Amino acid sequence: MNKSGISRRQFLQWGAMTAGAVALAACAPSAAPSAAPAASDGAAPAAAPTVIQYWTGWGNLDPAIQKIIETDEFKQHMGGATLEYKGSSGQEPVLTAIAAGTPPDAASNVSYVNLFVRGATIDVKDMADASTVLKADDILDGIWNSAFYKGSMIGVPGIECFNWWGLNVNANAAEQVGLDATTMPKTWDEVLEWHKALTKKDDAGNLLQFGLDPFDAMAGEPDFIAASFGVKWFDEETGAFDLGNPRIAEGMDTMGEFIRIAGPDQFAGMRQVEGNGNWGAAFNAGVQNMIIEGYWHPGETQIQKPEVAQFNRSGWAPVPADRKDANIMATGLHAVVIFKDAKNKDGAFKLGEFFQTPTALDIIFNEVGWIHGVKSWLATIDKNKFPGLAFYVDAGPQVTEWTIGRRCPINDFVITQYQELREQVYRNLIDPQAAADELQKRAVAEWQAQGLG
Amino acid sequence: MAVATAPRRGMTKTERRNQILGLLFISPWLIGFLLFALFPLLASLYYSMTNYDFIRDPQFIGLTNYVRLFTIDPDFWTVMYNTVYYVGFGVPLGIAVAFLIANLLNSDIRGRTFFRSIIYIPSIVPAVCAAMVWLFILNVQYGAINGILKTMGWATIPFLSSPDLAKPSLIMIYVWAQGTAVVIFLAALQDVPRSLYDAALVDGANAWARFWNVTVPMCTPVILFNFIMGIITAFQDFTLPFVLTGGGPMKSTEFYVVSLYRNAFVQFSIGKASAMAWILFLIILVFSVILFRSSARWVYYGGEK
Repeated sequence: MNKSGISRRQFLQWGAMTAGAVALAACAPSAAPSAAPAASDGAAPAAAPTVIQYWTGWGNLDPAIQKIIETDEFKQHMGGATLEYKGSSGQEPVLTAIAAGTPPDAASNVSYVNLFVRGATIDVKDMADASTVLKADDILDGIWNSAFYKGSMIGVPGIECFNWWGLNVNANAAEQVGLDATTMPKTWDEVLEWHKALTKKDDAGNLLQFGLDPFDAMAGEPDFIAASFGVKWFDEETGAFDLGNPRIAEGMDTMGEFIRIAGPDQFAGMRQVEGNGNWGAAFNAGVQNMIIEGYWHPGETQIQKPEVAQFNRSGWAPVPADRKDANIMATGLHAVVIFKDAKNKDGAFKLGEFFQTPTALDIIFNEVGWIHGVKSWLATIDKNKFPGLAFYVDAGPQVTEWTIGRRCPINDFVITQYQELREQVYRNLIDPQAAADELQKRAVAEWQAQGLG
Repeated sequence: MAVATAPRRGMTKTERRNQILGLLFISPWLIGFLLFALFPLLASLYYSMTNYDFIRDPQFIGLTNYVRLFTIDPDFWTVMYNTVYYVGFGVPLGIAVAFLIANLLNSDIRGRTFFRSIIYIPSIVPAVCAAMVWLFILNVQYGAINGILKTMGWATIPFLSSPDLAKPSLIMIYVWAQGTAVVIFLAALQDVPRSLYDAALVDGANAWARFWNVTVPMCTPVILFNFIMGIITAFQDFTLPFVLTGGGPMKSTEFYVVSLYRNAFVQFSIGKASAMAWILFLIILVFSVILFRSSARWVYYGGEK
């Protein structure tokens, strides 16, 4: 009798071939969005994607996002599209997703300028011009301007964009050591005296608490030391660096003195401990009693550590004595940026638009303590909701020198080199000017090596 | 003298079918190897000769990344020194301590099984957890050791926060985590023929002589194995320095792979990071070859004539 079925061996052969083919198909890259027929080509427009992928580098935005997507206004504005949100997304997953051709549609708290100048994100100027929700004249000038790089619009400013750099003091700790917390120190010399008073060691010289880490949080970046000492360290128009400026050297030495007093080894050890090491955490822990931060500090501290926040007082960030009349502040971009290979660019832009609405702004303010510089909404907030916030809200007209921060495409590289060299300075292993010159040399070399020059 | 060669015989239909069948059966591994090992390997070689940042198309620049690393890179020689220091002291010390512990655990002591388990535990604890535990033992402010010193009114020791002590501290932790090597040594020790010790006893050898002239030579193949594996893993150590010290203080624990990671994911320099990866590969290769070549002089294989 003839058998018409397949043999066991043939079954295995075909099975293996099928498995191999499936494996290959699974490994094949997904179709590039750019290959999809565009409506402008005359083809019938495809159905609008109903999902928006949005990643942020923040970990504390999650509760606010959850509340935002539950509002009727959000659902209505997004036209039924759903949000796939991922918080605490570091730079690594973003970069690998870009390299794989599968980035999210939008992201925030990424290296905005860095990604934009390399072509990973798109210019949203045309979308912004066409928007009826995004109103340039209702956004503080500095914030609106920070969204532009060489005439192109990097992203939709939002989530949290307001004034950076104030000296925040734990008034309770200050008063305990006899300092008058109603008169905030302004110059580095004055702040150093407060630092000495607030730094405590035991009889064996072990550090118990300290006044100010001048390199914590926002103060740790080259933007701050440059602004405090009156230097523009990077010219984004010409790509020129001025990190070897003698005032940068002076700044490293001046700020390094705070660490010398605390003790470099003791200080490094304190920083290595979880709860003291990450951004601003030592202030919440009561180990550090002064910190140079931005407007978010009062709100975040109130939400995370209300027993510390109640003593928070804010004033001008320190400057050298010969610049004591300079009131420095910065602002900078946080934005919803849209990736070149995003599947849902329109949806991503609508998300950015929604972050301009009072509904979203109120939720973010109440849940996280953050502010976006929308003038009409700013007029509605209670500036005394968080201790110290009023200083930042009222500061604008008194600022004499504004900085728009994080504009250099190799900002992250410069930060890592600056961290190393300033540590050599406060450990007295290198002359401050030699450190500044070395920083300049390294920045220029990297700039050229990355083909940005 | 002419050598007659057998005529080449083609495969029979059955042989060919079996060969295809065999290839199909191993195809999941083969495809995985080609796509996820060989391709990335070759891609990284190509990227090492390009200016690539994950985003823009790679631009071929020849050996520029390699030249830059050796000549103008601000960190390369620092991280190379740190890594060689760590490997150079850590691996031999780790091998020696593991071998001594294995010998102790091979002796007839009470609670031997318990001690063997204790010694092996560090090898199965996730590195991040181990790092956090050590942080709270060694930290200058809150660490257990320094806590004791403080209560006694003594100055603390900045194990992890002094540039002079941070590397030795990490080496100490590396030595602590040699449980796997201990287990492998134990297996080797139990394979040393009893008759050799008996013969040595008859010859009047004391305990040290038996250890040096019997135990050590008989374990040299395993010492070689642990040495090579130690070098390969120590050169690529990432978690410990990254979690414990973040590469500090003052880049004193910025090891090679930590720097490679920073180049790739912080500074967007995938080309340079790929070049670093290939340099590391060559370094490990050279060390391994040297060890293998030298093994003829100090490794004893029982089966050799």
